[in-house]
Amino acid sequence: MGLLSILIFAPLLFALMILLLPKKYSQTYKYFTIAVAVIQLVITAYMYCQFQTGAAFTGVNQLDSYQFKEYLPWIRLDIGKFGALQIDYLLGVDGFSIPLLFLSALVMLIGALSSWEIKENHKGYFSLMMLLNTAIMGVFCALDIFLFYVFYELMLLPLYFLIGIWGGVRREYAAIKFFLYTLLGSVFMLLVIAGLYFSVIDPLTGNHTFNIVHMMNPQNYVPDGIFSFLAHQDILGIPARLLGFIIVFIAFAIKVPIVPFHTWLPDAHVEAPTPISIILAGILLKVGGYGIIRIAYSIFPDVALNLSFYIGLLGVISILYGALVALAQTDLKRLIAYSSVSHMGFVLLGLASLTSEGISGAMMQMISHGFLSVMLFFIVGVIYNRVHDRYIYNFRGLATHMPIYTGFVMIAFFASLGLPGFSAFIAEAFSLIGAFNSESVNGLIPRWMAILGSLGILLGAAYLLWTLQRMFFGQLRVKEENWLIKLKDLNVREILTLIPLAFFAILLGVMPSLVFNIINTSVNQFILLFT
Amino acid sequence: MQTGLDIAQSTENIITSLSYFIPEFIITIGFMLVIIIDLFLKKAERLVFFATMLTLVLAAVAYLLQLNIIQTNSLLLFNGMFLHNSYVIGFKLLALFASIISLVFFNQDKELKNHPKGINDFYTIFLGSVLGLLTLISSANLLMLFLSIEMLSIASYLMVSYTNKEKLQAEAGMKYVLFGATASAIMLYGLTFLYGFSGTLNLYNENIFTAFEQINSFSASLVLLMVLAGIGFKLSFVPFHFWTPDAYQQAPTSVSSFLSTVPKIAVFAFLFRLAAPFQLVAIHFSTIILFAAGITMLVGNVMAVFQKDLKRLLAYSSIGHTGFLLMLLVLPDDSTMSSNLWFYLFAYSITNIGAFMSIAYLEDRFNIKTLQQLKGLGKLNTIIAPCLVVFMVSLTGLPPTVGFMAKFVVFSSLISETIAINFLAPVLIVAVLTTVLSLFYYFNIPLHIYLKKPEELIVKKKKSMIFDFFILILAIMVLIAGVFPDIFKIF
Repeated sequence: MGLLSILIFAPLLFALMILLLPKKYSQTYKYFTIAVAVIQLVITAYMYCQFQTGAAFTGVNQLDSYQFKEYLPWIRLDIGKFGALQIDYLLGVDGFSIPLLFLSALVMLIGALSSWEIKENHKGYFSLMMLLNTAIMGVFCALDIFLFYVFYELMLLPLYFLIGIWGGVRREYAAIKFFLYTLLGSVFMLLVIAGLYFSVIDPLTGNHTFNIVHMMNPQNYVPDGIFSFLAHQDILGIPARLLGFIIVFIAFAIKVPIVPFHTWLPDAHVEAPTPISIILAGILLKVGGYGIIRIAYSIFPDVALNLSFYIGLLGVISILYGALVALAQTDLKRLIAYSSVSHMGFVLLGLASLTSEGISGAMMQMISHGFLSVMLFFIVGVIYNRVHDRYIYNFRGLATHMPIYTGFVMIAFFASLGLPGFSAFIAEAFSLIGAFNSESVNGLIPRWMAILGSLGILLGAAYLLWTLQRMFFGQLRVKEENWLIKLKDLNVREILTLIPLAFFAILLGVMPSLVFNIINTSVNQFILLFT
Repeated sequence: MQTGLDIAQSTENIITSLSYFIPEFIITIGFMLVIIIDLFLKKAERLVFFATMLTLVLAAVAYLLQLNIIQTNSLLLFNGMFLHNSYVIGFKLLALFASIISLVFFNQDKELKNHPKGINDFYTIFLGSVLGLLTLISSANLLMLFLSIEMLSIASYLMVSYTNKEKLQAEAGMKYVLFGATASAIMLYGLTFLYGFSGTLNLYNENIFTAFEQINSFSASLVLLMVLAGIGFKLSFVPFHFWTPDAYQQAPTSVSSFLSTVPKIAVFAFLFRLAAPFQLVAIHFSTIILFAAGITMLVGNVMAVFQKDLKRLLAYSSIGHTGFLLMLLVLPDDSTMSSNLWFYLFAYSITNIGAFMSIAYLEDRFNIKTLQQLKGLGKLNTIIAPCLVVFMVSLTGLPPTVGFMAKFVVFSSLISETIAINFLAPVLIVAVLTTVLSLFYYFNIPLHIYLKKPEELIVKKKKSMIFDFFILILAIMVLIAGVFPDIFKIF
């Protein structure tokens, strides 16, 4: 049993322990959750330090160069003439997954730390959260597409209940909407996965395979397979590979979310309890981005290359639309939800450029947004827990009343709007440089997209600074008198939660090489897929 | 294939066939035994139950023994009346397995048990229907097909109306009988055409299908539709589904559970043998089947969204699953079709019976019949409520449950054929969309159990340990078969 398996199944083990423990110990459940997250954080940090880079450790489409690999035959299911379904338990990490694993472990820890607000049914809550943790870790480690899909779907069930049971007023609506949206994308993806299986063979054994890495190499495709590079099969008059890419892309685009597939996000975020919002924004949106890189782009590079313009366009639209809608929000949590849409647009824009700057920027943006969105949602949670209100105009001049809190808010806001010295600046700058260079390097996306994208940063500054001004500056005034007593400044637990997030946001802003060095070889290998 | 004119040869055939027919004999003996026990012994409920159980288990053991010594090629028994090969036995075992679980269920069903008529007659009818099922699965002759279907149908009519006391239930039973009789008549008419065209009743006589090539495609399609009418009634695919929701809602829950799973196993097992030759000779076969599949999925799943009654909801869901399974019949390859059919039916059976059992349990203990009444159950019950959620997840087809594996197996066997078979791609899209739609109504159940604010629930009776135990076992099976399907995919 390797490190990755421990990472995946430790939470499941703890979930069982929580389930078996009598109810009277319900106050201890959250410490279990924290313990798991700490264990995972230590393991991922260890892996991050041990992670090797260089020509022999590129990952992406080189199975041998993945690290911490684990392999077990899992399912051998005879389905008649097509032979047997061979599904393997295959895990491994490369430059794209390792930073996201570390991020996930950290966000899960923050999620556990912010679960103090959960008042009822601790057993259900914490065991579902552990199940979610297992699924998240699995998604980032799986190299077998079937295994990936199982973990990917497994994330939905706990989330449905976590939003639906512990959420806000319209929680039922938000939970089912989120579930339906995601499932719509992923069931179609299931068809593509089945099609891919019968199109790809393992070069060593000659059997069909679910191995994601083998699916990236054109020579592994059987000539008459439905997704074969050469055969150019049509389904319903559309080239099969094009259709396959679009289906997979939309499945993950819903998750990212990219305009126009984003409408579940504000509802889910607003209704979800703070820890779940944190996990949603910090990790689940990244699963979408990771899926686009690992599955959609890597398996269908030819199609992705042709569609770069449209993908870039979707990215730009997300950036601008998200920012403009955020400007109009009066609910602080909704505002931050839309800012996520805007920020995740940079991921798509950087990716569409297919330059090494752009893709590094996209990865950096995912990690940076991971820290920052978690910080922002936690900040909203602080206010909401105290007075159960998030309406921006109900608060004014909080800076004098809650100085420490305001300090962290300013760090989070300034970092998010892309102030130099913070991680988001590096990330957005690199994405935009990539997008800008694309016209001269590979001619995939035009320069005006980069220019419009930078307009998004400006709009981001507008809504964040305006919010800062509305809520924290000026004369102290809140809706009800007794709120002033309730609105206490941050306690030690909250400060301890926010410090690592702020620390990482600044650290990556000052030393982006910490991430870039790790992902660089994989990014370069990734670009080779498109040549 | 000889025609049966040679008496000596035909007698010899019958004598050699007898040994292959032992399981069916066991059921027949059990059937008579149950009648006799009931006639001569008073208060024999327990004994009758064990006799019935023993009969089914012995029959299953006999099939398992047959499976061990089976030859690779198929055999025709009793001058071409029955087919005997490993697929047939695989489906028979599945049907028996589901019948055994159903029997336990019948035994727990208060509505049946406390009925003044007593439950013993019910067991007799049940054994009769099992015999019909088994002969249907292996029937190789049009007459045998009709006899088996009728045997099954008549037994089902009786089972649905066994506890008949209200008007509504009488209406449902009546609807079922009338529909069934009409469908049977139409099918019989279709069968006569088949006989008229080919001059044989034997399904494994080449004439029966070569005749199809000589008649025009309109008459061929008409005959096909007529035969499918009778079969479609049993499978309740659209437009022969009208009886299903009423019958399922009004019948005792255990009977609904039985009807929605076990006869489906038998009819699909028969239908798949018909499919391969029909695909070759009747040009429209695949189109008709795909059309029926698409419409059935749409109607079943869309109607299910509007249901408030739990049993009605499951009735429409079973219609939807039938549509899904129908898609498999267009596969060009026999073995692929049957092995995937088997696995899907296995997955569907354990999940569906589990779901019905949970509902019966809730009805019995909390008097819950509708979605609304489920509110707040999550707080009160910590065993059945999560199990019910597991069954719903499996019916939707999400990992890590067996329903997901089954769905994936069907998808993967069909996806490679999308180019070769017309209309398959759009029907697959319908399948995907209805899967998403099904999430909506299946998750109405967890939604009401866990998400809605609890209301006062009245506990009517103490819990029944046997029920608890079986539901839990089924739920665990659903999960294990979802993660390690190889253990269960035997055929």
